[in-house]
Amino acid sequence: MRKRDWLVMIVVLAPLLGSGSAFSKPGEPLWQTEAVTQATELTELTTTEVLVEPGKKLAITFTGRTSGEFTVEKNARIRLLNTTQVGSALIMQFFDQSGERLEEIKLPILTESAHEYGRVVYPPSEAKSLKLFLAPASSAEVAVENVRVTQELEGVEAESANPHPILNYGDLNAYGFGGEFFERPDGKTVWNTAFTGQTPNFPIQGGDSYELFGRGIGYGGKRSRIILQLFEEGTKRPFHTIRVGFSPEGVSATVILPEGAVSANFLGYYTIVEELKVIKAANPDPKK
Amino acid sequence: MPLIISIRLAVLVTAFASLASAFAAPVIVKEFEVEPLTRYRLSFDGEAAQASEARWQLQILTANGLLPYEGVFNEDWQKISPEKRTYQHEFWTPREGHLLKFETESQGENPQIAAIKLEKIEDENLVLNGNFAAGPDNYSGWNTHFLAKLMKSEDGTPIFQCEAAGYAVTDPIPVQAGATYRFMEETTPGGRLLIYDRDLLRVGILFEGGIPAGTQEFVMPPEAAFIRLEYADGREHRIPAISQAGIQLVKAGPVQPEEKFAAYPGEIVLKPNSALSEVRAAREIQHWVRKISGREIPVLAEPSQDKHQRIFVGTGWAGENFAEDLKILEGSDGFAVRKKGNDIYVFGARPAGALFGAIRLLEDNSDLIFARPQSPMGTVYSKNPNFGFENADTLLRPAFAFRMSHAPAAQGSDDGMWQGRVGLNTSPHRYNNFRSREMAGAPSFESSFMSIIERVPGFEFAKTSVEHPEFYAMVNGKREIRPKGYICYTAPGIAEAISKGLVTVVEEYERRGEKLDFLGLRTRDGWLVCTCDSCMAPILLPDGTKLEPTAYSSEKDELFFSTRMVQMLNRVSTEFAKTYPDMTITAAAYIYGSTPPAIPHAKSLAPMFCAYPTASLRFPILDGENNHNSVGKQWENKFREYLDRTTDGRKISMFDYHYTGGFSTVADSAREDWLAMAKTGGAYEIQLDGMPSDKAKDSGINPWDYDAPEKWIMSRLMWDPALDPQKLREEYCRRAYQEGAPEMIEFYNLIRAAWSNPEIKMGVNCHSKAPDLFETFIVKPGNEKKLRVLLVQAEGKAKNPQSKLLIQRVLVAFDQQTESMKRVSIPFITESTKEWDIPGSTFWLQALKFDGFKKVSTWNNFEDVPAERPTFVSVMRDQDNLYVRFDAQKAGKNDRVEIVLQAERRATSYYFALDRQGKSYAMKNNAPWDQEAWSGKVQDESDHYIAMFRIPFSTMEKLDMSGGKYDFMAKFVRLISGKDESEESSLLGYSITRTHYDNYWTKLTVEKD
Repeated sequence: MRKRDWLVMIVVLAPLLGSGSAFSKPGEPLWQTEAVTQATELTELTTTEVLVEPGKKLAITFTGRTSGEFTVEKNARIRLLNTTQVGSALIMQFFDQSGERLEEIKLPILTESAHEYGRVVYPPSEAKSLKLFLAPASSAEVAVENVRVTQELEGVEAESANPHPILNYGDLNAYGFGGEFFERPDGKTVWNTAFTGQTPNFPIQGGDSYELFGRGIGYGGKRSRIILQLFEEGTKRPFHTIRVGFSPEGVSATVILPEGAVSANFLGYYTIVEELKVIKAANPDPKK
Repeated sequence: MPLIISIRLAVLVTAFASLASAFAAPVIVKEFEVEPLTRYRLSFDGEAAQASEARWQLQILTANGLLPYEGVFNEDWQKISPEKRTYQHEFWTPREGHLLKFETESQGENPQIAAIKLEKIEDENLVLNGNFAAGPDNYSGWNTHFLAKLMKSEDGTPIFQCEAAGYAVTDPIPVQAGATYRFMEETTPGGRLLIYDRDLLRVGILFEGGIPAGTQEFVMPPEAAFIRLEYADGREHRIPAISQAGIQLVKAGPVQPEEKFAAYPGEIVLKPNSALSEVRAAREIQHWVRKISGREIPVLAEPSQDKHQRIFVGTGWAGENFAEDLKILEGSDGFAVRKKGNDIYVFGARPAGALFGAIRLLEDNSDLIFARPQSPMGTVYSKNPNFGFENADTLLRPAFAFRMSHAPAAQGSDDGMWQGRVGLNTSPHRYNNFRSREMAGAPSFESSFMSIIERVPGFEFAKTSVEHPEFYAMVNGKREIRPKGYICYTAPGIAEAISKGLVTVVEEYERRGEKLDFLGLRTRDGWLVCTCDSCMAPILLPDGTKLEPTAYSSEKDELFFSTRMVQMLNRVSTEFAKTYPDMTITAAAYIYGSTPPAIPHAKSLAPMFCAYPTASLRFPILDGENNHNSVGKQWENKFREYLDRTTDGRKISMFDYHYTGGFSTVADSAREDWLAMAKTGGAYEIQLDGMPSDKAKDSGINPWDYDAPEKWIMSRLMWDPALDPQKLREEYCRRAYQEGAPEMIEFYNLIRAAWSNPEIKMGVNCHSKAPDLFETFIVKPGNEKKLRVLLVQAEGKAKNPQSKLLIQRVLVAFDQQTESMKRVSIPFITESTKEWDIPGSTFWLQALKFDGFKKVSTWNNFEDVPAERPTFVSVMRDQDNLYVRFDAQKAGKNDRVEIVLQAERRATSYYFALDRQGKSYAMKNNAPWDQEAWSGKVQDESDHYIAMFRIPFSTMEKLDMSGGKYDFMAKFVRLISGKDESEESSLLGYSITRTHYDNYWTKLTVEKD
């Protein structure tokens, strides 16, 4: 299909892009647009300053498609290919109080056909606002619709301290996880940690109780394990680790995290993970 | 009925004339003829005057009138007191025991002895006094014990209580090799069975993990002539109480002709009740004289009047004759071996010196070598009927007072014996006081800061955590309180608490009658530091300036936190010196502490420098130019600074990482750094990491098969780092490999040449992988074939079975490394250049074939599940190109075959793929890659397709094709995608993304010739 034909199709099919979404709709948005936006060069989606609250999860969902070589339809190994510099993407940039740019998060758009994308992140601790941009691949056109940014999350995503506890945004976005994502025949996405894979860090409160829940299967015998790594402020090495139980049916345990812990992540070895949750629990009554 | 040998009539003994305060000469009360290796019970009535300190002793002489060392029973418990009347003593007679002398002695009036009775013991329990029924003060059968006491349990039954640091060991019990024995019911579990040979040398162990409960049967090993039951737990939380110990013969073994040995013209003389390491020294000499010469030399408790050579073992014999030597050796465990007339003296200022001296005496007069711990393979010697002690004039005071193996300490019996034999003397971890003492171990103790505080009564964690929260490190504004946690270096009283802990430990040793020789303090194994206001305050330096912190993290400001820690250690030193002014404390200069602090260590602190984790082992730390790790000269600068500070009587130690997972010559670099330490005049301790067990139960290849020579050389260098490691390596080869030595020397020379070649830019540390070392230092320099040929030649030449075995194991280790490379040679096919893209070319039939693709674990665990769609791979090459042909059966619509190539681990990866439709894909390090040098062709059929690749070897940037042989790594994968038919499979069953370990790859080899 030539580029020009594709553009025509966008116009024709655009109203259908967002219909029938399988994603649960989070609560009150910080920003949203239902309009179709298409771009052949870097284009800002947001027209006003979108204020964000640091330390609180933020979800972005949208329906997207792109032309060009870097799509799952053109290359079955697109998940393996590093498309950071070359593929189409929706870019989320965070800014601090003074308007200084902080970090940016790229959400690759890797489908020729309409596909629903989503990602949950913690804004940087100094973040005050964000902007969204549409970045097409070279000589490609990209289109998005129903873009929605919210910090009013619902369901398990709202309960859980870690983003993506049930991996419900599909296998085309690895959420910053190491390892690989696969879609099972039943449509559920799983995270294969392979030899080793880590999730991004998420904030927790040392000294508090949390319920840990793990569901998945190991395939490395004794080497299969999931570990919750705990970090102190400003450090990159975990100072404490907790082994997280898991089974196909799920294993839960309540733990009190050590004082001083401010963030955590999951480190997995030879495990296919279906669900991983860290949910704040009521602190145990010290009199009992 | 027991055979009563003696008279029933009372024997009145004449009172001894002298009433002097010192013991008078013993008086022979009675003599009996006895049989050798037989159990007896001597009983008598005794009456002693008050304050006479009366006692009895037994001496069992040979028919020639000689007194064997094991024929003397003269222990503290053999007292005759005014309050007690009847006595008994159970004992085994020596191998040549013939005449029992029952003697008494006293400081006053000699005791009255009556009703003397000697009877054979014919109880089925071979353990004398196995139920401790002989009485609460009767240690018959258990004469070797420490911190162990006979007492009564709550129900009144006698028990033998043994403190954690103590031991209780039976007297040697004669046994028959090959016979079946069993533990009797109720035998206290947890002990071990020590195996002694004919010379009463401990040579092995049974039930090393502890004797099980119940009536376990066991067959006595071939080398066993005696056994001893040993209870010595060593763990502080367990205090074994022995209630019963029983061993009985179940079935005699095959009848063996009694071994007869001609007499060696000499004798070993050892004073009764000598220290364990002196006894071991004498037994080592006795044992190896018999093994080497085939003749037997006795160990006597008193010198004979014979004119032959006498070897006097132990400090006790040296005093008068060698006072000057003792002065030189004072304060060390060094040794002297001296000749006076025809006699030889082996001794140290401490008992340990006798053992080290005995081994050196043997080595200086034979080709004996303790090449590695595993017994019997690890010890090599030649038989020599003319063996004699010609060379006996050595004195050696060790350069390093403490020569220790770090955890795991001497895990097995063999490991402990080896460490003592090669002159190592301690470990920071107590493992077994009996065997450690026997092998010349020096009492030692090491602890982290909070662990030592928690040893102080009243400072246990439960109390300290409540009463002194300020002792714990503050992290993010909160005290991190946990057992053995990180500490606050500036908390009021923290230094005093640590000092108190140290004092408590030293006093514990003193209470046991031990002198603690080594005391070490260390940080916890991490970078965490206290960031309370006080710890973060600027540090006033001696020159009046202030050291300001630049970060709240020790990783970012090593100097500040190193200085903060040493500031506290100096206070500990001052406080501790109030009680023990002359004692050195080793302080780990580890993690951030490896950076020399801005203030000097107190004089009594010996910094233990730890160049972890990134100093390369190939070259000395001091040769920072050749530290091929990324840190450059950092370690050199730090170490040099510590050396420069070792002046004015200060001491320096090193925690040492000289070991790798493969063949190396690491001792060369160790030597240079140790020599520099020795040259400061303050060399104190080497703590050597990487000393795994060489246990016989694991018959497989272990690290000793790669680096036993290096460990042996380093044990020598700890005594004298001025020695030439290469000469020591050659000596090791001559002794261990004997006729195979020339080839083995050449073998290690080739490894050494590559290892020490600075042009090979590879930093090696203790975590480096064996296959990487093998590839870099053996394969790439083109030495692989040569080295293997040398090993085969050496193995063929070696005649000594032990030498042969040692070489065979090196060869197996070498082959395992070759195997671990998982290399497969690619056939060179001239016609491949023209016919690679013809699917049916007959030349593909000559190619290397792979099949048996397995499913990759993707959304489910498919480990080892065969792929549903078979794939066949053929590989061939010409001079410049690699050719690969895939036959993809049961082809899917979206079906592709893939190759990933990598020149070496962690090098750039190259991805090539062809799909069924003939479209090509390429990636470099998973990024898009337009590379036209490679090409592919696909022939699609109805149910399968053939995909062929031509990939120039030059595509791989880092591939070194200069040698006669080179390797690269490959993956062969197939991916079928689509909702209804997806399958990912690969040759080895691993995901295409899996690259970390060598076993995820197939190693392909190009052999030019």
